[in-house]
Formats: sequence, C-alpha cells, structure tokens
Amino acid sequence: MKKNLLYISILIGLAISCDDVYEQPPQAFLEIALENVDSLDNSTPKVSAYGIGMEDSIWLYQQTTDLFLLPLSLEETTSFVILLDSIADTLRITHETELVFESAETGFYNEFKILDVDHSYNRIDDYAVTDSLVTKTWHENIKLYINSLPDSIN
Amino acid sequence: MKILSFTLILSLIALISFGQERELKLKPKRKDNFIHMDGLRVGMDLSRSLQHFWNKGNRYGTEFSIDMELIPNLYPTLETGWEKLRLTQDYLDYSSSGSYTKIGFDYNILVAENRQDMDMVYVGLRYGFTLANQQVKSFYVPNYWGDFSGSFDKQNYSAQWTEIVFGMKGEVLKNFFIGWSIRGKLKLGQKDFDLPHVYFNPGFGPAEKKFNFDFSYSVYYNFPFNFRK
Repeated sequence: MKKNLLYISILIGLAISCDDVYEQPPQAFLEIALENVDSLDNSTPKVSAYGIGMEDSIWLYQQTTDLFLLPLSLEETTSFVILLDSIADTLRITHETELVFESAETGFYNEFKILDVDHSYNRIDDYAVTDSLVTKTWHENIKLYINSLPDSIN
Repeated sequence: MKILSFTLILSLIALISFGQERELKLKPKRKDNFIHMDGLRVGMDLSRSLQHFWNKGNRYGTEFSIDMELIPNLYPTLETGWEKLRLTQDYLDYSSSGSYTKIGFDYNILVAENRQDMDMVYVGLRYGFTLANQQVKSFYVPNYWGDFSGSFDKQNYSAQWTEIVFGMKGEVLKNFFIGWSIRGKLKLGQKDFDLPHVYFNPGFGPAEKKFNFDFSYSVYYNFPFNFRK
C-alpha cells in the first residue's frame, strides 16, 4: 500500500505543469558620456538624437543628461544627429558587427567594435574612445568633450 | 578542570570510534547471493514523453531499456531512445533532435527477503552518447535601424556523458515492474559550433550546463526465460 502511494505521488508531481516565459534578446547599445571642456561649467545639456535617414524616428528627445545610449546599425557606419541644447552636431561611428547567440530561450543579438569616430565641431570639441567593445553589458564607450553654450544663448 | 574535560572528550571519541568499528565488524554479509530475476527485463520510460511539463519548450521523446541480472545483484543495462526539443518564440524558432544510447550497470543494494523477491533499490553508472542535429528555422533581431532576420541550416553534432543513477524497481504484478530513478549527468565531451552554440543534447539535456539532474519513471516487463540453462 505504501509503495502504491509513493508511485501515485510521483505521478501527481509529473502532472504539474507551468507556462513558458521567454525573455527578449539582449541589446548592445553604445554608451556616450558628456563632459564639459570648461571644468568650471557644471551644466548638463538637454540631449536629443536621431539617426541620419531616420528623421521621422527620434531616438532621444530633450533629456537632461550627461550619459545616454545610442543603437548602432548593422551597416559599417552609424550616423546620428545629436542636439545638445538645440545645437546640432553629427556623430559618425565606423564599426564592426558580430552576431551573437545568447540562447535558444532568448535568441540572437549584435555586438559591435568601434573602429573610428568622426564628428562635427558645433558643440562637440573632441572625443575619446574609452572602450571600443559595445556589448550587452552597457558601459561607457565614448566620451564627448563639449564646449559651453555661447553667452548669447545662455 | 581543563585536563579533566579534555580526557573525558578523548575517552568519548575513543568509545564512539570503538563502537563504530564493532558495528562494522558485526555487519552481516548479504545472504541473497543468488539470481533473483531470470530472464530479460524490457522497459519503457514514461517520463520522456511528458518532459514538456517541466522543461521550457516542447521537449518529448521515447526511451526503452533492457537489463538482466548477469551475476547476483548486478544488472548490465542498455537504454536507448530519441528526443526532440522545439522552442518557438517571437525571436527564435529552434529545434534539436537525435537519438542516444546509454550503457552501464545497476547494483541492487536491497537485500531480498526470499528467492521470489525481485524488488530492487539500486545504484548505477552509465556512459551515454548522442548523435543529433539542430536547426534555427528563423530568428529575428529588433533594431532601431531596421530589424534583422535570418536562419541557420541543420547542423550535426555529437556529445557524450556519464550518469550516476539511484532508483527503485518494484514488482507490482507477476513479472510487471514499475520504477523510478534520479540521475546526475556529467558531460564528458561535446561537438560545438561558433554560431549558434549547441543548446540541447538529446538524452543529456541543456548543453550549456556541464552537469544536469534528471529523473525517470518507467514500466518494465520481465520475459521470464532462464537463459542460463
């Protein structure tokens, strides 16, 4: 009798089911940090950004921040217009793209390696690549050194 | 006082050790040194077709086993089967399937009450290997610049592992048995790919893990011919 109860309890355990829940695949974003060239200037700009050719799809709109993420394309170069307090600059990143298999439960995603950076000089003064690998673990990749706003705008 | 306590503790340890030694010496040798089960036992693992209840995705399969008591309490065992896993979600349609075989033995640790007692509690070892293939029928990567999709053709691979088994088999009707086992599986080798990595090994489980737990629930029938005659 005890043996039968044991077998029945095991069968009941087998019958317990649960629904499958899948996560979205991770995404690798380019992380950009802003730093004022003038060390006395502690202001944080309002940042907007959209991809060149993607004007009808604003990625970032009027966010007051000194750290933001940008998505890279699967082409060799990714170009963004970045507005810092409404002063527009273009930022062009040349990169390699690699397809990565996360798992069969989440799927694939792309990682990138920055090869070169080019920009206009309206508000951006200079840049530094702090880490060329753009991975699913978001971390600072590029530091943009920005000039202070002209007094006429301030 | 300290010396007295120390002496008492030492005496206690010595006494316990002596007691254990005596217990070991007094442990009787098993007296069921005879063949319990004539014939060949054929089994089917019912849990393989129900695996989607406790695994992600649609995982199912079939497994059959053969064992016989070659020498008293030692049962050489062959288990062979087929498994498939399919994971279909918004970003990926993945499938893997293949056949596997496990060979090894079980040792019965349950002392029989009489010559007709064929119930067993056992520990066992297995060596398993699989020949399988996987395919990504479609995948989809969302991106601001435009979504990306693709697929991968079938990829053939193999893997091998070893298993430690603990289980029970009980005779519920004349020559009919029901049994369960829990299994620890340690991966020994794996053919893998850069893209996509092998995700599932039939018979073993998730390929990304070096060690997997599993269990089985089987029914058996013993064909009671005496092959020793």
